[in-house]
Amino acid sequence: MDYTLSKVQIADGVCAVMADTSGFKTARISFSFASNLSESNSEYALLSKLILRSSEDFPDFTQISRRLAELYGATLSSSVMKIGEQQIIKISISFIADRFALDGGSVAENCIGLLSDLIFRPNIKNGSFNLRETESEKRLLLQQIESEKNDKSVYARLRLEQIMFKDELYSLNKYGDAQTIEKITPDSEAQAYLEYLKKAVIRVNIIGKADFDKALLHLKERFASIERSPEKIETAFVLSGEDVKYESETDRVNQGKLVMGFRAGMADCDDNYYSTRVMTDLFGGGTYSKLFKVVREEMSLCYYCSARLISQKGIIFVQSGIDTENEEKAKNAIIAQLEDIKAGNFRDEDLQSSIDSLVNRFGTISDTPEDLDDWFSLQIVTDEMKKPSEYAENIRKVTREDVIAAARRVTLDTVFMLKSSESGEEKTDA
Amino acid sequence: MRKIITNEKLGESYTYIKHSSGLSIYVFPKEGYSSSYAIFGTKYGSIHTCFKRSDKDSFNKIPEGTAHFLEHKLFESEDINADELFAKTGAQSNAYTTFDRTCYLFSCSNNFAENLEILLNFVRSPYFTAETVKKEQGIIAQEINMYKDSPGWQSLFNLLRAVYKNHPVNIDIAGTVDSISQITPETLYTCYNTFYNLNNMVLAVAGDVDAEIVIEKADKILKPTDDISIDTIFEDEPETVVKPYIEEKLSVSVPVFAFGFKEPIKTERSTAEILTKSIILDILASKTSPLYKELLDEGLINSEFEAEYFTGTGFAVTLFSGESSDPKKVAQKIVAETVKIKERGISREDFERSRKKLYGQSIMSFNDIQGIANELVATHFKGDDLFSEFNILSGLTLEDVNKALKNTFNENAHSLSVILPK
Repeated sequence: MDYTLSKVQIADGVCAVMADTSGFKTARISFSFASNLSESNSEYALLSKLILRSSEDFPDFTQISRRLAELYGATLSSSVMKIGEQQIIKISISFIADRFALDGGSVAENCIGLLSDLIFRPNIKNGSFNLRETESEKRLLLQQIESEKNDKSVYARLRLEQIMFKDELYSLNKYGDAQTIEKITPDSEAQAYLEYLKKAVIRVNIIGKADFDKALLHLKERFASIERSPEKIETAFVLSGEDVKYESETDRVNQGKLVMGFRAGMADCDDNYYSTRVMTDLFGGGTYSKLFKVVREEMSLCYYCSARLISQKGIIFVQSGIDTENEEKAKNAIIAQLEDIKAGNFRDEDLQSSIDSLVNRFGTISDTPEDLDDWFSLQIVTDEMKKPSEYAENIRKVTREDVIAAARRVTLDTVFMLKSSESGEEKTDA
Repeated sequence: MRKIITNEKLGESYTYIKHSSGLSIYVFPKEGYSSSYAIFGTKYGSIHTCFKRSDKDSFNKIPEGTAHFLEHKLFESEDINADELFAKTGAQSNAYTTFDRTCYLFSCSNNFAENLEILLNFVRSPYFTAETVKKEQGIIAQEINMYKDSPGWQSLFNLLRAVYKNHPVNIDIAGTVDSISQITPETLYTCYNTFYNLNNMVLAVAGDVDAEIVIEKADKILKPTDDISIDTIFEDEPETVVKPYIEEKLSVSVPVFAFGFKEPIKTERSTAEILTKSIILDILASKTSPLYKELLDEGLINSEFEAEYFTGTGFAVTLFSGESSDPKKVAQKIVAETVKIKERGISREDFERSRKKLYGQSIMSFNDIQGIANELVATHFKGDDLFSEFNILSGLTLEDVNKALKNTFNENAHSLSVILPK
């Protein structure tokens, strides 16, 4: 989809990114807030939920939900992410384009108004959030942290992060921690809200068709009364791992989960980004990758075995679900595949497949408002505004030598294995 | 035969082609889109375990999980591997098996014609040997084990086992480690030759696509197949459930549940009926409802809670799922609320609000080429067209919904499935 891209400064550390297009049936607006990982993660994560629970104008979420239904099923959502050593809180609304409104009103204008009311006119009375709602959302947040453990591959990755980044901010959970959450009060949360609006780096995305001038004016008014002092967004990069750390746990699960954490040898998120991205994909991306071809197809060890680059921290995670007794076999095979790339043992056609596949994926991003929105939100940490097509062009330039050099910068740092205590047993219940 | 189907209000249209090979083809161009999506599917899923071809006398009974196994194996042929071919073009390819269909797909922003050729070719080139079947058993066994640790998946399938006595919706889509070990190359050929008949299949493409290219490739690759019909045999299913409660222990921190009322037994449900039930569930249990607020205020649910109309060939459940420290109490409250709503009926205000929401959601679904192509396949197998949901919605009345409400939520036919921590 073609779109016209522009960026406008709204206030200190606040910008609006607009992708203007009539090609979609919907439009989307999002607020992304970035702050360095810290003990305040808990309070900010709670904010992401509390401000969608009620507001000065809407006494409870039932009223908010009914308003959304009346706006033709507009969908409101919030998410918490960890990008590099930043916590990102994102609040977004998607809605149908104005031309489909049955009563002639502007859905876009109403939705921008609703979203901004929820964010800027929270349900704070006498310097305090509502007690019952604060307690309820605390419980939900605690449960969310607990239920992350229900997904064993997520659990294994989080455990690896705790071990690998023991002395780095990256070890912090994006939702915060249970102890800090327990201590939050309606007063302290209201304080955190005020502080957050001042210090978070903020990006507002508007994707689709809207009265952009009116929206910008509205945003400028909202921020005019806030004394902004945005913090400097930073992430520490560690170039290489030293001695390989290893830990394991045993749980009553059917399948073991292996996670391996590598340092990618990047000094910052732009350092050799494109070659490292292609190398990681050739290592453990699509069906042409080393891990898929050897560990899955040749050795039949697993259903999935993949590698993922987190460029904002300069690390690579390899994850696989395997039978516990195959741990050594799988680990050795994974390391051997990386060594193969370092030695240049890969086919030109597989490298080309990797490049084509990445270019193809960049090519599909502009065809949904959600993907475009996510794409520009993530660039909040680098304060960039690059189109997916610019990335695609740079990916195309990566050579065999670049990939070998990128692989040679990679070092294994930490291995975590979640072992199954009932390997090979068939359950008989249900 | 060729037909253009247009919807003025949505500003969309697509072409339907009954190809000379027997295949039904849908082409849905989306102006301005730079990528395309194609899906090639057969009306064959995990519930088709016992069937008979119209040109044969005997019935076939096959191991659980065969449709899914076949899906995995089709990517490989004697001389070509579909993954490798797609890798050369840069397309993202995949496949999935549900209760009642198997689909092969790709998405791409370049080389559409070439990718379509690969898709049509590999799905039409079965190649199964004892050796390749054996190798796949290891990979699929790991896939089955992965799902065994997934509490959401297990709670759903346990519920289906508690609700359905005979209908094969109660078996796992991938089968079991034991059932897939019984699969042989002959099993796969039997199923392929039955269900992968082009008359039982559909091709849908959407995005930056052109009907002429699709027809050209279909003409080149697809050879006519005999127009056979297939009878699938389902044993009679009682209106009551097997058991009201089922539980399993997994390594979870918060209990996970699925609760459902068994709907009256019938083979197919119309789009209008499914829409009506969706409105009822929306009013009863979505975030706009008093029930949701009550459950949340009492700390009984979290934001994972949702209600959906879960249906396919021969089965339908009004399904409520989520995480809760006390699933039994959640189920009690849902039952109590269904009794109340049936007594007092649905109000006009609630009905109009819910309909407006569904109207918006229906429009939104035409943004996404992946959703469009998948929905084209689903509606084709139901014998419906893609715009019918949007069209029916404006004609639906409050009286229709209140009438349907009377036959929903049978107090004597519900089950609760719970996954408890070990």
